[in-house]
Amino acid sequence: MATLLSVSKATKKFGELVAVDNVSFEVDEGEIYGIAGPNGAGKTTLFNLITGIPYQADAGRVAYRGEDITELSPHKIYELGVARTFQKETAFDTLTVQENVRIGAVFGTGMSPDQYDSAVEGALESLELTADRDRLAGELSLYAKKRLMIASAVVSKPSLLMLDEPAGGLNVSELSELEALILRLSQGETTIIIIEHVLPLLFGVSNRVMVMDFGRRLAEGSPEALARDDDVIEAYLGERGKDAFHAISG
Amino acid sequence: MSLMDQLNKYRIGLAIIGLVAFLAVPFVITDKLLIHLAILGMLYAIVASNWDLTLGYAGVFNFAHLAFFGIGAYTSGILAVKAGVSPWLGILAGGATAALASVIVSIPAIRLRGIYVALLTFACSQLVLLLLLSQPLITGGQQGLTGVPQLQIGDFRFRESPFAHFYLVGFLLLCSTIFLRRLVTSDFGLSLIALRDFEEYAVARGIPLAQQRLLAFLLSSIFPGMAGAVYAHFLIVASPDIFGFSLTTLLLSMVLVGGVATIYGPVFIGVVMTYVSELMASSAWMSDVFGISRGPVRFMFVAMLIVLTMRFFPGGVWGLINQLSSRVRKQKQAAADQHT
Repeated sequence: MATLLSVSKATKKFGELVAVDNVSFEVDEGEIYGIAGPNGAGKTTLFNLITGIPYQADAGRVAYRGEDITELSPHKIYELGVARTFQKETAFDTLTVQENVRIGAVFGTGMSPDQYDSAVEGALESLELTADRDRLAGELSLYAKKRLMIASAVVSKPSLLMLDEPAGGLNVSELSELEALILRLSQGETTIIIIEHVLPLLFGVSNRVMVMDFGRRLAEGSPEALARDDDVIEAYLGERGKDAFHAISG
Repeated sequence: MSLMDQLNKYRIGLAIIGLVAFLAVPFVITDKLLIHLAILGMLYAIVASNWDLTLGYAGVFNFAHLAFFGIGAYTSGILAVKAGVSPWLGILAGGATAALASVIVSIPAIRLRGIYVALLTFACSQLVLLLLLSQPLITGGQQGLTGVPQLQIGDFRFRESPFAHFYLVGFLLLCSTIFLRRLVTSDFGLSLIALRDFEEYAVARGIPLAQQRLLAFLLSSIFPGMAGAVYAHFLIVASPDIFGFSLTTLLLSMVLVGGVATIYGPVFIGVVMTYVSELMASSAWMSDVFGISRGPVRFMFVAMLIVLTMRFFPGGVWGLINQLSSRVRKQKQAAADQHT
């Protein structure tokens, strides 16, 4: 399968803190690529470097379909077909649900007005937001707002959809719905990169997972392999936690 | 349903009533001073409502709009006085020059935020004033450019009729308001609101920040430039007082008290504030009561009004009307639901 996204030796520093340290990875077309790691591991910073929002990499290279996008403006990156969501549920609260989704369709997609009208309807329906279309986004529940954020991204029919902790704050039934939604989205032509703390969901949907810690790439592999990786278990649970984990799991 | 939605339902009827009422004004109000103030009020309303596009919708703390008005006034005035250009062409040139100036101001301003935009645009405004003062042979310096010809069509001179300027400026205000409403309800308007509400999210959805903000400056400068030109021909002078802090504060109060991001608020309150402010300057009782000379009283009043608005109803008068109308509608809906 062709490589869609290639990140090579990406680095980002904030003063003395190296938030992303020489990270490299590749994502193939059509796959779901997971990124895991404890808080502060540099996952969201890595998303920011790829999309240029709100900053770009200090060093390294980000290539999309072979084209260097490291220093491209965020709206140009969106035009290429890269859409992202944010860790915190985000919407334009003073606009309606329909207007929120419309914004994702109108700018940088090259669609005609007829095309984006139908794309908006499709996205609202697919994310089960049709009934809420005239409500202000600020009035929505957490889960509806998260779906709205995804709807405003998928309405552009992106080749690469980047989801930043979509499961945060959701209950069990919502998690199960979200998992089904992610799998459904990946059945089209959309490649997905997902950052997630809810490991059952991440491991359930991903073809491959990269684990980060202290800004560095700790491990990469299939979810099954990583679930048995000592370095990964230690990153999450610490030295003593790792021993306890092995004692319990035998 | 907001007040705007309710008004939209009856928009044709309301438009006809409004038009008839407007056309009747010079027949009903025969006091020349009141008509003069109405014309000034409408000119200021054009500037205030266009300022609202950048300040209210785009969320850019821009203080250059009065400079666009002044540039329009001086452009048309200089063209007419020094080159004999027709004032009607001068009005178009005023809009074009203001648009050009807005691009020059917006290039450094669009990447800045908050107070830095305010400082930069205010500095640009003062720079224009200093440039005008530095060229007294062309601009008349501190005295202003006098002898600006009045508007006329054939032998008909506008200043000789109480109707002509009133209808002309009313038409300009109507065109400006329709233009602004169409802008803010378009996808362009959505993009400005998105950038104002959440800049990072907006650019993540493909909205080109620099381009949209530059367009907001450009599109909101044309009518103020034209209004400035009409102002110069109406008063037959282009004065550096246009750039003064007093007029800036008055126009800012029209936007804030009228209601930011509403367009209609600054239009209506623009006219009302002009009346109130001028009446305060010309009536003695306020200064008698407070023992202050007449000039400062009105500006104290304007400043107080801004403070009180920001403190008690930050959405301004139009926002307050919308809020009350929404509350009444909800109560009616609740009563209807209870009844059924």
